[in-house]
Amino acid sequence: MEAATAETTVVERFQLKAFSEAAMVVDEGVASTKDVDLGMMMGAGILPGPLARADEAGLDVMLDRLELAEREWGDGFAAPLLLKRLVNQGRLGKKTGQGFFFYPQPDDGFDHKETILLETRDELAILWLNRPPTNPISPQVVRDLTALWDELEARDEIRAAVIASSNFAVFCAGADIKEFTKMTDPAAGKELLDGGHGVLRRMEQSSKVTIAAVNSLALGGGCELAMACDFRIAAESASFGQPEINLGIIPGFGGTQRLPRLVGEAKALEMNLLGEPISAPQAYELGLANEVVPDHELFDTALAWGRKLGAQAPVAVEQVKRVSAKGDLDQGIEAEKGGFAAAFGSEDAREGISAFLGKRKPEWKGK
Amino acid sequence: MFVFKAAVVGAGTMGGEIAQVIASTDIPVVMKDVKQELVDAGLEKAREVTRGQLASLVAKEKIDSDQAERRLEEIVGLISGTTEYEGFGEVDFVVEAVPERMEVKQAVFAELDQETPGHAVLASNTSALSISEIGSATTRPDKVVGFHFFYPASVMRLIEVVEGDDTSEEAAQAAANFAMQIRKNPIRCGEEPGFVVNRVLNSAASEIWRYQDESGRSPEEIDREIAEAKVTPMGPFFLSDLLGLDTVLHVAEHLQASYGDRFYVHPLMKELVGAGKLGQKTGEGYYTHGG
Repeated sequence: MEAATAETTVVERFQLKAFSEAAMVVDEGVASTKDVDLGMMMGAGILPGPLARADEAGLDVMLDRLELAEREWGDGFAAPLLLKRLVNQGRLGKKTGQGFFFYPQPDDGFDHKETILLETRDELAILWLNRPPTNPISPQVVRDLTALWDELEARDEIRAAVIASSNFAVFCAGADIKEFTKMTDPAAGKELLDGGHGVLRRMEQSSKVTIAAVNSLALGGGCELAMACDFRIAAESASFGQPEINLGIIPGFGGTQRLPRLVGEAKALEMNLLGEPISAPQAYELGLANEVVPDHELFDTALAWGRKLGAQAPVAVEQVKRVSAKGDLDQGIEAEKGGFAAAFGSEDAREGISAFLGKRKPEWKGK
Repeated sequence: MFVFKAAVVGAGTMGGEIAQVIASTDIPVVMKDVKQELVDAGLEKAREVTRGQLASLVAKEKIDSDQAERRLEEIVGLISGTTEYEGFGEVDFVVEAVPERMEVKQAVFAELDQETPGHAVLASNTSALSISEIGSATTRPDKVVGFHFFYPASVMRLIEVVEGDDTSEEAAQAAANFAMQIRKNPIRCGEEPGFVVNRVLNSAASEIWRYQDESGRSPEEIDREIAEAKVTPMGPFFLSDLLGLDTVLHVAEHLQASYGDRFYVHPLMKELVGAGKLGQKTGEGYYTHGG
């Protein structure tokens, strides 16, 4: 901030103060990083939000600017504790992969897939869902996940994989409804379902451990992807749901099968038939999430789980995963495929999807 | 908790807008105020907002004018007005938008506790008051939650879902789900003064107000710089004029009293409010607004 002019002064004061107050809100536990930035974006038109903007500038740089501002303009600019802690941790923002939020640092020299990026750190792989705006699951996503899982299976040194989102505001909002409606060929539909189930089932039976770092909405296919992982670590502001029923269709990637195994028949039926999302604390209470942490601790926590689990004996891990109460899952998935086809081909599904896309209330015919 | 029918208490501009938001997602809503003319003003506001929204759909050729006319009556027809608590016996979710005074809010919540079914979530649109204190006027503080719309509610997508000490996780999540049902984006936060958006925005604006005092530069000039730097869509002085200087002053004083001197009350704003110059709504504030 050398030789500040009147213009840079006023803008700097406004921005720095917005940032430090935003960080204090998080520090005091009033709201999560995600909700603070979304609030400022939608409620005050500040785009990007103050925390993401700070991540972009570098948190070390922000700390310096605040210290200077404190000398110049007073105590109001005292750096929040959380900022100092993140800088001490080396979480300097986008440039180091983590600040208030976390960011992919995809491997150099790897032939990256269109919708999922690969980052490896020693024995740990991070699969970054990377399909703006909401990481919807399309046939391409299923193909990319399959190809990446092939890749990981071929690398013995990789012992655990974290599935994370490169979008701070959403984990995965489910199937790409528009892509789905374009699929008129039944064979292509079958291929998608079989392919999706195939890779999720392989993940479950692998000697490598999988951890979903659920930062925000995990709906429909997003919730099903998280459930197919061995563990789900949830940010406080995350939510989980199977809203397919609202479109007149049903979960197609294991929602009717894995959810009851995780949370019990009654709650699973409730989520699958009501279609209303539940919060991270509720998911934790039901056993759907293994741990709930403040949003800004999510990624570190998921990495720590990966590191711990990645160090366990591979053969034993594989055997525990194979035999753990999932013997009847394949049969259940076959039943779900039949149910999905019946619901997806119904008039109600056409009506539900078109009402969803047209933002209106559907009228069910029961056909 | 399922919302088949909602209620809004406190009509006028904000109440009318909120009722419109709910009705436009096909949920019946009953709107109450103490005087018939306030109820009528709320209904008129809802009609005006709906007409504007449908006109833009017609302009985009998404619907024709006949469809727009039918849809207008359909939406407005979902809103019923009352000066009593008529129809409140079957509501599932209430949004209170009465004046921002604790004793007024508590009186309304005590009545709502008696007039609405036991399962109903009672939400307050307060931008400043304690949810815990409001909830203490009821026998169901676990079902009392903040539900803070932004102005104008028909346009702004954000709702702050605010938890008091006694608010249950179920009620907070139900409120967040209801926000999504009426096509808004909820964020969740604690009840600390200013919640998230007003707190951060006022803290930042405090620096602008202080700077204006120190430098003596004109509000217009400062606004222009802020807007040109693309820090916010409009400068804080113009925004304050739009929101109403009395409202902004009230919030600024509250935040300064709560958090201390990193928040600032702009002396010029106080002066303007003292002179009855409240911004756009009175034609004059920091700016003179065209009549």
